[in-house]
Amino acid sequence: MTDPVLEVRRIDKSFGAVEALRQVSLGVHSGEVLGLIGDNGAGKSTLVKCVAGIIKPDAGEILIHGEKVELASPRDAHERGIETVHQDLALIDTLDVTGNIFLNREIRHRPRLAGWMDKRRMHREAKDILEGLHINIPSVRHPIQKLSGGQRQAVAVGRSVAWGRQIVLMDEPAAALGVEQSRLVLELIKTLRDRGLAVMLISHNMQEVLDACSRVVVLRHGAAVADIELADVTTRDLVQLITTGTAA
Amino acid sequence: MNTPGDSSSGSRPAAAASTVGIDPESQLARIRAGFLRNGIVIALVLEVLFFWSQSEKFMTTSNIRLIFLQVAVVGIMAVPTALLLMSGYIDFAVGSTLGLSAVVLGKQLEAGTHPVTACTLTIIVAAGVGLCQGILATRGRFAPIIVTLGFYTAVRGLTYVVNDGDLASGWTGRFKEIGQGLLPGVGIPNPVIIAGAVFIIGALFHTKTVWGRHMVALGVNAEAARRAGINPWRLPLLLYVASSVGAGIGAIVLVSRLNSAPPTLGEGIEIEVLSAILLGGVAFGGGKGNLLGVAAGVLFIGVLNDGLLLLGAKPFWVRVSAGLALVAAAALDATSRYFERRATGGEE
Repeated sequence: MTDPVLEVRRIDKSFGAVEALRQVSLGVHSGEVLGLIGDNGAGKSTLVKCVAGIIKPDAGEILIHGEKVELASPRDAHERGIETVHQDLALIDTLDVTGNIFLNREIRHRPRLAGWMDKRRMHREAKDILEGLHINIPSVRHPIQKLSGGQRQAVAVGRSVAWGRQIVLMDEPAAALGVEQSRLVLELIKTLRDRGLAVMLISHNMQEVLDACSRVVVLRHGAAVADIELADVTTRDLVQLITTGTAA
Repeated sequence: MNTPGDSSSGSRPAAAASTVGIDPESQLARIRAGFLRNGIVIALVLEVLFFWSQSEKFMTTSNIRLIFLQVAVVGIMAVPTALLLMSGYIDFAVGSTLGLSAVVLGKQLEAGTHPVTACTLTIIVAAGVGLCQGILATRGRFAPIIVTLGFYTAVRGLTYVVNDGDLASGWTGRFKEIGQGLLPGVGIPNPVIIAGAVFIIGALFHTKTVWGRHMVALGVNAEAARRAGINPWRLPLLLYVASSVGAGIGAIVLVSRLNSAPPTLGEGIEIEVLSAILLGGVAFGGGKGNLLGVAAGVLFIGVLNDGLLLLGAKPFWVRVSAGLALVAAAALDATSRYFERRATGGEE
């Protein structure tokens, strides 16, 4: 097998006395969807935040294409082609759909230093991006707060799909979504996979994990207790791994 | 661009290839929404109609010019301070900064420094106050309201220290043109021209530039903005400096207009500035509002002060009304949030 696009080696992270992550190692390859599962408080979101540059691990290494990287800020992560869909979406309510998709990536008129935004072009490109992903939004000029929960989620996922060049991290992207919208999110994840990106998916929905992922890593009390291929694995097996840390 | 069919389809998905619209809102709807968000514009119109009906002197050229002249300094200061509020921070020390800047300016002019040099130095002193406040409130993570209340007191104290019992006044030369002159040919007082320019620059910054957008993002949801890679400190720090520089410019205009620089200058003006901003629909805690509303808020206070005096009210009542205007701002804010809830289907 080729080198993983993203590799995490022996990551430690504590919050005070709580050890959120203990010596966690894993790798995600190009064109692969890795499931990251575990009970509440197992450390899944903490791991995602480390790779997204939001929090700094206490120890351990993060490698991209085999090269060790320092991810001191979300900006560093973006520059390395890492995009994240957060559990709490991280959208700006009062900005419109376009504003959120292009947040901190605004298209500027020349000279760029003047900071003058090309709103028309951003609206057009945002429309193209969403249409290309078959995401249904009444207008890219709608403020985010006027959209339904599913539409917001679609915008958040669409943003990461549009900008992700190497790695996309998804923390419960389909939580609280209807059946139809969940399917759309799964489709988007498969689109990313087929484009050759490395995707890491956190989900509590085992059916979703079995459907989208080819491999899972199970976190339990901050440690990676299993790393298995998903051929011939059932929902029951996964639940067993999450609750006891061992396969049946 | 849009096909004619999907422009008014609302939340219903369009049937054909196009699933995303660009602009379903008509111009009219946007103007209506703008007014709803700027209840103050309506309040201002009603206020003007009221005083017009009550006093013959109200709607005269000289009185209107007076109103604009009276609010010019508040307007100049309100713009950068409003932008700072939108980014989620607060500067309550603008009046004190104005005082310190004025005294520094007065001392320089009295010592015979060239007005250009004196004004430059004044702006640098003001910017310094903003920089100190800004660093503590942003990078230092001190509670902004406490920092700024501290500076409110300390900077005013410093003003008296620098002033040292002296009253700088009565200089000659072209310096007084800034505050007393009229724009040739048009007859508009210079301070009003300056305020207008500041408003236009501020509004363009807010609505047209990348930084205006990032400022709003930080004010609405600082964590989300940070996750998008926006530096959470840089813009607010810059806006603290801008807010203080606004007070510095206010000091130059006011000293020039009054031809003196007493250390009491600008006492209480921060209440007027904040009232105008809050009346204008900018929310404490950031994000909301625009400078059109702030301009209306500034004028609302100016018209109120002027109208009450025209009607023969005692000056104390002007103070009462200024305080009540601030409370009215809260009422206006509550009303607009009510309409917003109704418009978004009750979520909040």
